[in-house]
Amino acid sequence: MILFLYDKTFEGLLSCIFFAYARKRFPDMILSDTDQQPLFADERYVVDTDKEKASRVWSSLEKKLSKIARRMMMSVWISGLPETEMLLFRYIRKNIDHPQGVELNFGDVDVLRVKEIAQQVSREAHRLVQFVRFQETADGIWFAPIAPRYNLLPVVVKHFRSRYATQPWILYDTTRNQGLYWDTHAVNEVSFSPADLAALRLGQLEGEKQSDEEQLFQQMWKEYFRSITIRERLNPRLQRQHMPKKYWKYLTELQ
Amino acid sequence: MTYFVCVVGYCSLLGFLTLKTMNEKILEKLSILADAAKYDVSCASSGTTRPAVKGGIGTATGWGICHSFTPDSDRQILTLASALYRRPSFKRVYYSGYIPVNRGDSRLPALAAPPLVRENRLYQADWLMRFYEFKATEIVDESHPDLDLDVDPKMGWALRHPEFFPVDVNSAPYEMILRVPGIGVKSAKLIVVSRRYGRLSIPQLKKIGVVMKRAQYFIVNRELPMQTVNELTPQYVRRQVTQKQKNRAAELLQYAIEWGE
Repeated sequence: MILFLYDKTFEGLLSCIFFAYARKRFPDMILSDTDQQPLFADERYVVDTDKEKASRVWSSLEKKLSKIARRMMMSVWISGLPETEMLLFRYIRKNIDHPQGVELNFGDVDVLRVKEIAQQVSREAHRLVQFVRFQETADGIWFAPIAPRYNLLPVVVKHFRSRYATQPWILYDTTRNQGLYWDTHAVNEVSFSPADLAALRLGQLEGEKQSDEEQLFQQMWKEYFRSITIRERLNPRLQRQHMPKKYWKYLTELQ
Repeated sequence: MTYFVCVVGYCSLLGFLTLKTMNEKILEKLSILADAAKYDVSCASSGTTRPAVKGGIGTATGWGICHSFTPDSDRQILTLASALYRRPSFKRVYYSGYIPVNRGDSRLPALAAPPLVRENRLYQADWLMRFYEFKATEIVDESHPDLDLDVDPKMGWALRHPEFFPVDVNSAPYEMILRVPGIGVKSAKLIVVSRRYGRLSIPQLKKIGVVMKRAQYFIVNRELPMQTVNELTPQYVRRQVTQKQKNRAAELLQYAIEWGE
């Protein structure tokens, strides 16, 4: 078994490609230092990240792959799934080896999997934009806890920055314990202590942290949600399809 | 964005409007429709035109079609819809089963349960016209004026026309692949671009998203035994694909209108 070690950056992964083709050694596993390593490995290489080599690999992919395919690769990278490195490695390798590239060969397991993961990530990002409920805090900041499956804050920040440009807000990812704070001028990273985090995970700010009117508005929103419901049209299965239960925790109307 | 006012919503809409807005124009429109409904509205509908928006082409219209309020067959509804789709700038038709909300008014028909399966089938037929290049006359005809509630309209067409099958997904044109039950627009497109790289096997088709439970009777492949709809007869295939739905269908039984007279 051939093992590559890299620094868990996208440039690092592209450097792995360059390294593999230069040495003609193709890995069975690509890991970073923090990952659990297998007990036995026939060959073990530490691949240093080299920006220049990475950009050479990337520009060769730019010649062969469409913009959509390149964007799908980035989505797969964002997903951070355990299979990411080897999947992208095989995907890039197949594209390099095939004279025209294989991005449209959906009969291939890896090409199909890249498409699937990219779809999941973009769907999740879209839902994240839909299923955010802000609560007004006592100091006038709009606060929204979120718990997406992937680390999507950098993907959706552009939307929220332009959509709510005039008001300060915090988007807080409670699973990764990091958040973004927009102070109407710039986006900064914030994180809370573990004690605060546990309180945040309940989905509701504590009483004294909410603004005076927040409870009233939440009440009205719930009331509205109930009164527009047409009882004869209730279809819980369809509702769960459009609005999966994992988001309900932070949706005011369903709390 | 399209808007529509449909007769279906009449009962609920009227109650809603009198409370909320009292928009006289709409009320007037609705009362005309309600009067018409008392006699015989065949697919009564009323559309509103959306003004042209920046970036759009022309104006768009949406229409609502009421069904199960009157004894219209699906054939009439779908023929009307397909005629509407031929208009330029026409966007969509909406179908809505009649749901009695105002139970106090004895002039309105009582319905034990809303005809949701029929509504779903009408939408499926609508999709066939919009995305699958079907004509209304293919989905319903004189001998089959109503949509089959047990199987979807595409399967219904395929079972009535076994002579078009089996289809070889590795060589058939896109339009024909699109007609195979169990293959949707997305899978059909993926099949057409992927087969340039080599023959697609059954596991590959499954992964692409083809529902083999339905498609297996209509496609031909080296790995499958020749057991297509032609060998097995349409009646057998029909039993196979409906068997598993039986239990679910029983819950959603269609109810006839009981005129409270």
